[in-house]
Amino acid sequence: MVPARGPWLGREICEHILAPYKVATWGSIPADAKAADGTWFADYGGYVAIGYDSAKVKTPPTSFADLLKPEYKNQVAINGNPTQASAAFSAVFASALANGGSLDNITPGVAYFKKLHSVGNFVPVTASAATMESGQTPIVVWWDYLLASEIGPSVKSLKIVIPSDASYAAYYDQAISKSAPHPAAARLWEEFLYSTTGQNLWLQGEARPIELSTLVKDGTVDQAAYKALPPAPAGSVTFPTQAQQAAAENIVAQQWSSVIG
Amino acid sequence: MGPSGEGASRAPGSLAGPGVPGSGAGAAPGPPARLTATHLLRGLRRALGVIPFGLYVAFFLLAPMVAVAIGAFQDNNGNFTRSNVHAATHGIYLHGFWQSILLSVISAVLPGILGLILAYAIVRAEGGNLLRQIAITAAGVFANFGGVPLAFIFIATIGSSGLVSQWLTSLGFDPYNHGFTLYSLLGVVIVYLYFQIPLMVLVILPALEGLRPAWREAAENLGARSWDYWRYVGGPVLLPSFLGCVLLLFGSALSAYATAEALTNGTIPLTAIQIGSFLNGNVIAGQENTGKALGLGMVVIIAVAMLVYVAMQRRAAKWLR
Repeated sequence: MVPARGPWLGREICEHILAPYKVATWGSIPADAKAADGTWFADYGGYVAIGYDSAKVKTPPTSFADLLKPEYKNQVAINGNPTQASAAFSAVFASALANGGSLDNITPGVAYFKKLHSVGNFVPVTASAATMESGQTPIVVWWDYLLASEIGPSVKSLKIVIPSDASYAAYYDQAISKSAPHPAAARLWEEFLYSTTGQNLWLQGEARPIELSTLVKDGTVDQAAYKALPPAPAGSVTFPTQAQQAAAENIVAQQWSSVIG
Repeated sequence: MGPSGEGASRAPGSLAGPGVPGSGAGAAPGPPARLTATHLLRGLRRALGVIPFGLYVAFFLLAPMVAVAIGAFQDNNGNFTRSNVHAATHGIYLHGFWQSILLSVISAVLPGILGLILAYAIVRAEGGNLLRQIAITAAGVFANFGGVPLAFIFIATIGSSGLVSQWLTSLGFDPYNHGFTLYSLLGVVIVYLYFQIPLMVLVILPALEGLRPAWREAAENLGARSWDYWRYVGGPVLLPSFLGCVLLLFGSALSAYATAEALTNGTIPLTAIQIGSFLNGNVIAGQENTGKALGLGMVVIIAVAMLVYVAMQRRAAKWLR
């Protein structure tokens, strides 16, 4: 069993190392979140969100545009280097969507962070629970499920909001290795993960399972865990294709180091 | 010294034993063969001490260097290509090379001078041996203190919400409002000073201790003032060592990765961090050979720096020959 990000793997790699398998609830997985031949399929994920320490940040930010305001001076950080960490890369992609870019064009995202730095709001350190706790980065742009599970336990006044001007989500994927020593056990495990119990377990872990909409429609969703999630933006989510992702990576690799110098 | 093979081999340039007439063209094959074997054994015994180090250098320096050099000219299928080197010498990567060189030169010369002054103060201090021991130990600790903990120390002190920054803000002067920021090339230089100065102190102390007081006294007897002594005696003696130490600091600053990465997270272009993006992380994949081309560029920079050093060394040490 290989938890990974499907679009990251090239097609040739998929065919060579993955064994196709379609779980019983295959139909509940959206079409663009799985490979048509069953080599990989999404399991859980979430949205890029803004997490802030409400004890230190008096005016709650609600969008990427808000973060440019002067009251957030030296407060905003992302989780690492976008040329190395995909959480940071996704934050840049989301800010591109908020500033006139698209899944084909991530340049406005890098320009946004350049602007964020020039107004003095951007702190280039890697944000974590420790940096928010110490007050160094009271505002962190990260995955909503990681904000909840990594920072939530230590920062009680954490609030998570999905930016109103950008909805960018990404999901991890499941796959079964072709050379798995116990393929039947692997398939049984996948069936468990995609059963109602399995999907609700992810919900309790503060992440969004891929079959969430089906669970809500059928009434089998864990209501308490579902209510605890930050409200998702309306409308469906489009994931970038592998080609769009590769193009965006190259642009970020070329331009990120111009953010400060 | 008798007419024995041993004696003959001790006299340079006279392989023939002094007591063996007509040796050379008409010599019997016995003695010369023994001489060659002895030479060989002697050479081997001398080299024995170097072999472990030679193997170490071969495995951990030469082999990776060759692998990087070959990989820099290969594409993902192993075919020859110049595109990696072309990418590495244009655009943002060329800018990264210049920034890295600028950073390394400043982080080598400035700590070089400051470290030299500090080391001289230690050598001339009244505390004597105890002060020297404490200074050497402290320098040894600080010179090796780098990476993420060092970045954290500075972020916690003069970062945007650091202790000193907040104290200054409470006094009415916020450094971050007046253009200072730790997260810039200037900030990285300041952080590098922390381990570069002690490193300089550590390596220049022996050279300073090699300046005999007798020379100073002799110079003063001849009427030299302090400036004359340094210009004609102390300076020229120290210059080769000083240059060597500065080269060491240059290499140390050029290859430093973790500190700059923790401070800036790739927001300023530095070659070491750019190589990290190719080899590290889960964003860019399949372009490792461009990273190797950048690595080859760093090898070239160091090679050029060493050539400059050797040239300056020969000039500086001219009077010693």
